[in-house]
Order: sequence, then C-alpha cells, then structure tokens
Amino acid sequence: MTRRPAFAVALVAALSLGVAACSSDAETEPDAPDTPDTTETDAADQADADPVAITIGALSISETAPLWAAVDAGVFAEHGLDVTVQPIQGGAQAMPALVNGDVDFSVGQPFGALRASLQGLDVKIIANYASSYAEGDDINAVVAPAGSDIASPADLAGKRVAVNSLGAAGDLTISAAVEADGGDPSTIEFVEVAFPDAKAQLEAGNIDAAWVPEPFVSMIVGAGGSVVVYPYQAVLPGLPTLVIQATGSTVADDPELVAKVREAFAAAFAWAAENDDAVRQALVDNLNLPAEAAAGLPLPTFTTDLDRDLIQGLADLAVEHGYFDSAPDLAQVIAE
Amino acid sequence: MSGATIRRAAASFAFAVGLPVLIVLGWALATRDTVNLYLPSPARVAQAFVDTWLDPETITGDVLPSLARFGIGVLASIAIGIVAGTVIGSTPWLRALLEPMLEFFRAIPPVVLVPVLMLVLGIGDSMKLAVIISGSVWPVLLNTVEGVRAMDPVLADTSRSYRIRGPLAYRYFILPAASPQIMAGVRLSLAIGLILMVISEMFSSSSGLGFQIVYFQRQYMIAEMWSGTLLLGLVGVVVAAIFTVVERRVLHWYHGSREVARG
Repeated sequence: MTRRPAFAVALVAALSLGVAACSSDAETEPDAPDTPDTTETDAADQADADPVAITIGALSISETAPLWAAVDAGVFAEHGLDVTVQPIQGGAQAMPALVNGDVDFSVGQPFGALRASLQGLDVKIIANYASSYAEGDDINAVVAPAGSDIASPADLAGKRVAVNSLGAAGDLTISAAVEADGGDPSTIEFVEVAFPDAKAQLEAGNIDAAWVPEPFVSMIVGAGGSVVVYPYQAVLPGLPTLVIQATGSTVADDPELVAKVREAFAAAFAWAAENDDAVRQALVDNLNLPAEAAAGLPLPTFTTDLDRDLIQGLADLAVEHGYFDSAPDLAQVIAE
Repeated sequence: MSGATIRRAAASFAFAVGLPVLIVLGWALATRDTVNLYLPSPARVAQAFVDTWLDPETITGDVLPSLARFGIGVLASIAIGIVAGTVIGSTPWLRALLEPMLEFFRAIPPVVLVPVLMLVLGIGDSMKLAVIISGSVWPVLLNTVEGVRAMDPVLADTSRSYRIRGPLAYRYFILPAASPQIMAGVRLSLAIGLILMVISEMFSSSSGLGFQIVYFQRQYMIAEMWSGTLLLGLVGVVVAAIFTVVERRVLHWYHGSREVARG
C-alpha cells in the first residue's frame, strides 16, 4: 500500500525527465543544421554573380502583378537582383521611404514624382512602368450610374464627381477633358471617395459620377452604369499611369544598378507578356482576387519605354490648370 | 501689494510660454541648415501658416466650417450624453439593460463606421457630424450615468423628505450632484471631438482643416502640413481654455467645497 504512491512519484519523475530530454532535443535539433545551411547558401551566392539586394516599393493594386510574378519566377535573379517587393499605401507615403532609403526604387504615379520634384524632393523617374491605352477601352474611366443624364464630358460641369485623391492626375485630366468638350471645369465639384466605395456612393446618389480604374469600371458598367469618358485617352492618349522612381543620389552614385534595374524590368515585362497565366495567378495570390475575376481583369500596357512628350504634356496641363505654379524641369526629373 | 501681483502674473506667464519657447528654439537650432523637406524650420512653418491659414478664403472655406462642425458635434454630444445619461442613470432597470451594450458600442472606433455612415447619411456635413458624435458622446454619456447613479444617499434622502421631485429635483439636486463627473466627461469628449473632426474630413471631402492637412501631405507641401497641425494644436489650447472658464462657473460650488474639506 505505501509503496504504490512512491512508485507513482518515481514514474512521474521518470516520465517528466524523458519529456524534458525530448523537448531539449527538439529545441537544439533545428538549430544545429541551420547554421551550416546559411553559410552554404552564402557561399553559393558569392560563387554566383553576387546578387544585389534591392527593395522595390509598390502599391497593392493589379498593376503590380507582373512585378510579383516576375520576382517569383526568378527573372530579377537572372539579372543579378535579389528583389523584395515592399507594399506601400500611396505615392505620398512612398516618398519618405524612398528618401530615407527604406526602399531603393518605388513604382508610383508620374504626377506624384513631378509634384515631389517641384517641392524640392530629390526624386527621379528612371523608367516607365505601365501606360494607359491610346485607343480602345482604357483602364480607367469616369463612369455614371444607371439612369444618369450624363452622356458626354461637358455634362460633368456643375456635377459632383468623385476621384480617389484631389489635386492629382485624375481631376486634372477630367477638368481638361470637360474643357475640351466645351464645358466649364471650374463648376465641377470634386470630392474624394476611395475607389472601392465609389460604386455604392454612385448608387446611393451621393455623387453624380466617379473616376475609377479597373476592375471597378467593369463592375459599375456591369451594374447598368455607363462610361462617360476615358480622361487619360481624351487628353493625353497613352499617358503613363505608373513609373519607376529612385532618388537622385541613387541615380548619381550607382548608375550601373539603375541600368540593371531598368533592364530587369524590361525583361520582366517581356516575360510577363508571354506568361499571362503566371501574372493572373499573382493577382489571385497577392490580392485575393477570385480566379475568374483575375482572368478577365483588363491590365494596362507594361513597358519601360518612357514617352517624354506625354510627361511633358502632363506637366504643361498641370501648369495650365493651376495645379503647378511653375513647370518642372524634365531634364531634372527624368533620368535616362 | 499690486507689485507682487504683477510679479506673480509675470512669473506664471513666463512658466506658461517658457517651454514652448524652448521647444521652438531647439527646433530652430536643429533645423538651422536643413534641406530635409520633411523637417522644415520653424520660420518656414510660420511662413506657411501665415500664407495658408490667414488667407480669408481658407478661413471661410476650410477653418470656420470645420470649427462649426466641431462645435455642433460636441454640443450635440454633450446634450445627448447628459439627457440620455440622466434617464439611464436614474432608472435602475434601464441601466442594467443598457450598460453592457453601451460599453460595447463605445469600444467601436468611429473611423471604421465612416464607410457605413457615408452610405446612410451621404457624404455631406451630416456624415461628418455623425462621426464626431459617434465618438465623443460616450465619455459624457457614461460619466453622466455614473454621476447620476452615485449620488450622495444622504442628499437623496433629504431632497426626498422635502418632497423635491420631478424637474425641480433634476435642476437643483440630481444634475448638480452629477456635474463634477459630467464635466470630466465633457473634457474628454472635447479632445475626442477635435480628433474626429479631422478624421471625418479625411473621407470623401473637398474642404476643411482635416482635408487640407492630408491634401498638403499628399502634395509634398510638408511645411504647410505642419502649419495645419500647428493650427489644430492652437484650436485645442483655445478649446481647453474655454472649457476651464466654463468648468469654473459650473463647478464653483464643488471646488469651493473641496477647498473647505481640505481645510
């Protein structure tokens, strides 16, 4: 009788010792092979072309799909670049990260780069990234809800029009398109509505029209709405929507890296054009889009060839409509 | 005698402005030859302040509408909070029924409600007021409930034995007894209201103090952005000063009785 508890205690002690031994094994085991592993890969890397680690800031939007897909497929690695894609929230947030070196390159709107440069930020456009279509269905549009009497750009005069952010390429090109169509752009009341909210606000009647990119154009048109105008196409056909930016010091100190990045992007876009399935899969993986939506999503033209005339046209338009006090010096902003 | 009073006033003034002056001096020193756009010098921000916020067009188009929304929103919060809080606080079953739910709603950040409020109320001033009220009503409401509930039982018995009931009791007994708690709630809701005024203007807006600050930030007009936050801070100081004056008037008996109690 008295032995039994003692036996039980001994058993528990033995078991817990065993457990302790196991757990200490488990703790040390993964560490041990880890260390030689990393040195091995380091050695392999050094034996290779010694890839340069760079961070590229990009918005979490469908236009980033070829970048994600090409990084995963190793296109950048082939060009000696070890790329990390850093999600950013907006152009204005990307700029401090670029200036203080958190990201080495960033993909953003050309209008933001012009504006930042005018304000004295040391930012340069090193290449084109994506462009709108000069003809046919463009990738962003001003849309009106079902039953709206807005049929042409001039009808937008005196109406409440939503853009995602005021004082940028959206309201600028809409104003120019309305003026070209004979309307008075100063009577348009622009309000800020985030792209995903625009459809509901149109249907609720809080706004008369909205400027949205794909996939929202298709969604709103599919629900009975209509395209009023493709503002980019109407004003500056083929206008770049996104460009690749770097700081002036990166361009000055490391021109080889900049050239390498430019080449790698060109190769990535060429690869993406032939691997549409991988690009669509990147949309599913990174934006959680349903596969059917990703398959049918219209994407812009991806090219690194920058059309200076269009950037100049955008800058001139901004000066003409009072968005900029003076024209930025493109020789300063564009590094080619 | 008057010399001493003047000296004391001068000393308290020196204390009030001393730290801000030191901070501005340190700021000027740290940025005296900066080229960093994100850290402008105080002179640059002061210049931006004058150019941006003393422009009559900005005052009537952005500053006054914002302050009006803040004022209306906070006054509505205070009125709703005191009325609803008094009803809930003086009705035990209602309090038992609602209190857990009120704590639940209070924990909802008003920012996440903005898209929903935009659908229901549109994108005009009513949405912005709703955002302000949805956040700043809670401190007043919950403090009023607590203040009304925790009345001095001796005072309650006394007023009951004098048959002070109905509106008279609310005017002379219940609300004054709860007023220290209510004023503490008002102080909190002023601060929350100011923050929410800014936040409400960051959505589907085209004018207002909050809109301008975000707009400047996105346009890389960083000195202008700082000048906007400076203006917000100054509004906060003025609001706090007004509150102190009002609180002294409303709670003069309370401060008096505390001083007596401290002996």
